Amino acid sequence: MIRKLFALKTTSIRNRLLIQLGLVAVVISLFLFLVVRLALVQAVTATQDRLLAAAVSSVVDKIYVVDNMVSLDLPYDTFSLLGAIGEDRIFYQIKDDGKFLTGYEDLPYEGPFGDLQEPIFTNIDYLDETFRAASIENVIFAGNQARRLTIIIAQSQNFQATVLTKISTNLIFVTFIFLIIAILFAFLTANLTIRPIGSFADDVKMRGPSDLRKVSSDVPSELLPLVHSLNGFISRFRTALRQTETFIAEAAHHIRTPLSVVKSESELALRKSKTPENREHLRNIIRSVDQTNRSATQLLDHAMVLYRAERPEKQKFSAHQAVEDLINQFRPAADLRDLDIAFSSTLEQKQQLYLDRTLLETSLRNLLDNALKYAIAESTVFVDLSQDKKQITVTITNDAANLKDFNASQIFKKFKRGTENKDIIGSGLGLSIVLEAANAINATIKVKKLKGESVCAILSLPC
Amino acid sequence: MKVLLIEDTKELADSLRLFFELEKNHVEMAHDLSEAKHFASVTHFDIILLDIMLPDGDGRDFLRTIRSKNNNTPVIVMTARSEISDRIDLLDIGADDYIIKPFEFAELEARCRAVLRRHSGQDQLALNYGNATLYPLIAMLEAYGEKTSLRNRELRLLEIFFNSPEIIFSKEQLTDRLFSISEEVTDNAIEVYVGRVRKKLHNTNLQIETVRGIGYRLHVND
Amino acid sequence: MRYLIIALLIFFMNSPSDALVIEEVRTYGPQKDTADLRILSSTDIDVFDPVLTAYITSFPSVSIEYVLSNTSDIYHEVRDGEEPFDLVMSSAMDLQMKLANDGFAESVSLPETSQGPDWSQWQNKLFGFSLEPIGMVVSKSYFNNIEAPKSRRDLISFLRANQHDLRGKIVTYDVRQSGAGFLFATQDARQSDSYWRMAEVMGSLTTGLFCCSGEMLDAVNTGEVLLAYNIIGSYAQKRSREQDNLLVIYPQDYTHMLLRTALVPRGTQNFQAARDFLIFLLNDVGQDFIEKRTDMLSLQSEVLNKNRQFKPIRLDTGLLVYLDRLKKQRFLEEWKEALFQ
Repeated sequence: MIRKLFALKTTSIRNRLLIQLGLVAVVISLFLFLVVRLALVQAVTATQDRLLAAAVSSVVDKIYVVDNMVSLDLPYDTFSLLGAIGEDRIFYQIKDDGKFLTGYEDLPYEGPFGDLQEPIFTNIDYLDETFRAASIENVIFAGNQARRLTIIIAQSQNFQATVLTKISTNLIFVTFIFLIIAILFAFLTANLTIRPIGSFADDVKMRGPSDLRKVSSDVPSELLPLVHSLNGFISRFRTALRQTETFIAEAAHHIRTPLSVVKSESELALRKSKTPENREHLRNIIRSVDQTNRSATQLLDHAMVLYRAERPEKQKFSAHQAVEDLINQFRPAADLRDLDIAFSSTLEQKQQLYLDRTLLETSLRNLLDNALKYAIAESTVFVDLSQDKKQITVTITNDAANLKDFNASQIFKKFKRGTENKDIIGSGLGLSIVLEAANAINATIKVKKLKGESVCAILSLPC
Repeated sequence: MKVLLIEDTKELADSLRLFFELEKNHVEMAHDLSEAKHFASVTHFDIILLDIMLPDGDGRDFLRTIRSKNNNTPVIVMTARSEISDRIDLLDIGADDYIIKPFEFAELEARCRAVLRRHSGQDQLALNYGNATLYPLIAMLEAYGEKTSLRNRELRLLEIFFNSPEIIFSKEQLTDRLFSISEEVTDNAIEVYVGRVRKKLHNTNLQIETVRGIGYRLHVND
Repeated sequence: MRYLIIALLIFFMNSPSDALVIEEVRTYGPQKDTADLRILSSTDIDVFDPVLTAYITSFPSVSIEYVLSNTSDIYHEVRDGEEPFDLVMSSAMDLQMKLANDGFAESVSLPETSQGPDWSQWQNKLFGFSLEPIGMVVSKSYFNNIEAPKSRRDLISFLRANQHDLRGKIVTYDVRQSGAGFLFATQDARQSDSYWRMAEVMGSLTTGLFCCSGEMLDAVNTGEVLLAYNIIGSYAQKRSREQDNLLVIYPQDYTHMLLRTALVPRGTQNFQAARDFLIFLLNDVGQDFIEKRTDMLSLQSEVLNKNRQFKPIRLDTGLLVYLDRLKKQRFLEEWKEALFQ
């Protein structure tokens, strides 16, 4: 039962603590109430006993002997006082050598009897009530004869009940106050106890997604194992991320270096070659190398985007500068195909962006790469940078052939390409990487077909 | 043009050297950092091609070293890594351009040319034949003091002929040189460019002769 | 209001000790075989009549049978009798207290508006409903020229000084017969030792001993007797208005106030009727009525505040003491010794 109560279905440590402390407070309060009440009953009973003892003693004082006859002058004030506090009923009985002398003959008490110093106190059931009685035995001499007198005075317990009721009311009030205070303390204690856990949770919550520092160990010792395992996890995670980074770099190196050797040597051989058969051979090799390289590049980009999306490295940089640098990087390649890249911008030079530059440039690079790849020879690729209240927009427009089956909704699917452009090398991953990279920096990407034979890609960045 | 090629992959280095020599350039090869530092300290180069991952260290250290010695020879970094952060890093420490492996020789050549063009004060490279002079860096053809600008493919076609005058090049050879292998081009695409170049040579004593059944050659009219 | 007067002396039951001597019976309200409320009381009907009349005016459907008896008979009737009564009212506080203490009274819980002062009730069994001073009544004609005694000291001096004139001219209760007389005498004895001196002086004058105040007042009125000691104020007051020769004196040293008390006897058939009557008797309306329309005083009477000499007899278990067999025996012996010389 208690176990069940303590195992109340709450997942909050604070609530559990509260319930448990609350229960303890209730139990202590009840205990306190009962103990104090018991002490009170004893104290009141002791008081009543002393009153009865005094009454018995004053009655004994009024016993006298006349003509060998025992008589009694019952003291008025003693009886008056005895009933004064609680309007108690009083019964008494005095026997002379076992012979009824005066009082109530049917009072059911046969002993034992104490003496004046130590009367015997007992509870007697008489009529319809329980009475507290003091009884003594006293020996007096009538003539030269010793007479054994027994005196019993019984009093109802109204007085006790009255006092107890009065004090119990106060006691209940005091206990209730105690309970309230105890519950308040329980609240305080629960909150204080829970505070380090709360600040620990806040500490973890406040971290940026790329913050892989160790968690401060300034927590209650009970939480240390959790902190240790969390730190262990963070450090493994950090190692894994670093390995991912290294792996991507290493993979790039190990794939591209041999490819570059093959390509370079094939190109050289092609230049020296005289026979058409050899030339065709070498061209095929070079095409395969290019195909392989493009696939590898896009797979690596893909890995990189996934990795970066998890832990973007945000930085501030000029949007204008970034786009212009990227375009300049592409100019020599464009030149080879006699393509122009026209850059226009309505942005101020100092307009800053705050995001992961690598992700932005990955998406832009792939877009530009596509634009240059599909552009008609000797045409111009237009790159425009503009800004409204909410966003900065990069628009890349190029003339393209074979747009018959252009389908904007299909264009971002992995490993899909326009069916008519079989000859142009590409894995089809390009645009899906653009989309993923854009998503990772909260940018939106749209590709649409314009009038005539041109396509434009629009990348919108939140300011 | 004197080229310092720093590349530890021997096959790649060899083929690049042959390419440059075919284009009448002088190439020194270094396979590691210490060799590279040695060459850089004893000789002046027009351009340095630098690989990043070298057996005895990082190519970027070499770049920092020569820049700290006020050596402003143009440097093009050849890297297998494509990350933009690498590129920004490289440009920050003084690289003039970078190229991602694998690349077509034509692109490397174009980047070299672009870098050299930006370095004013460098001796202008000039190819002479007949009464005409070809300036590849600025894509100009000069005859009788009259300058004609060339588009990229026109320039490269003329370059081929100026480097080997009177030599006959087949259509295929020229196509391979002018177009990317990846690009599918028609057989007569080269004829379009030959036609254009012929027009630009009209006020010179040079002409591109069609050798029937074989190809084209650059010839001085008597 | 139509009522029936039956003045009878009836002896009930077999043994004389169990006999209830009914002095008078009066019924109020509708005629019924058995009244809704049977009251056994020691208060003279003439004194209490206005209260009963007022009650049935307010509750006309209630029939009341008011039975008058003396305090001692009332006590024994409640203890041992078989006649069913619903409310017992008596001026013998000690006997009423003993009945309540010994368990012959029902507990009655009354509303707040019908709660008298704490000193006027015991537990919720015994309820005081009126106060009456205990005084002396003297013959006006005799004390026309002579100053009447104002205190007990005066009285003792007066008795001693005029022994010759006063022989046989003083009366008081025979405490052996009258419960009320016994109560007044024991309270006097308890209050002051001078009581026994006065008792001896009275004994030397062969004081007349009566059972009832009515007879004493008659005797004073006719001039047969000059002074009656320990007379209940309400009776004296009522008679003094009707009979010219009566003068009521409240001793200045102390005047005991008698508390008339009511209890509901155990085994009542009409508990609710009894309770209703008590509620009426003890609430403001009832008390106000007692103060203004009867010769009794209400529990809140201003007399208490005006004169320090008026002392209500305390309604507590001390009253049991003089009922103790040995104590009563001793008191009566001393009393007889004093009064019969």
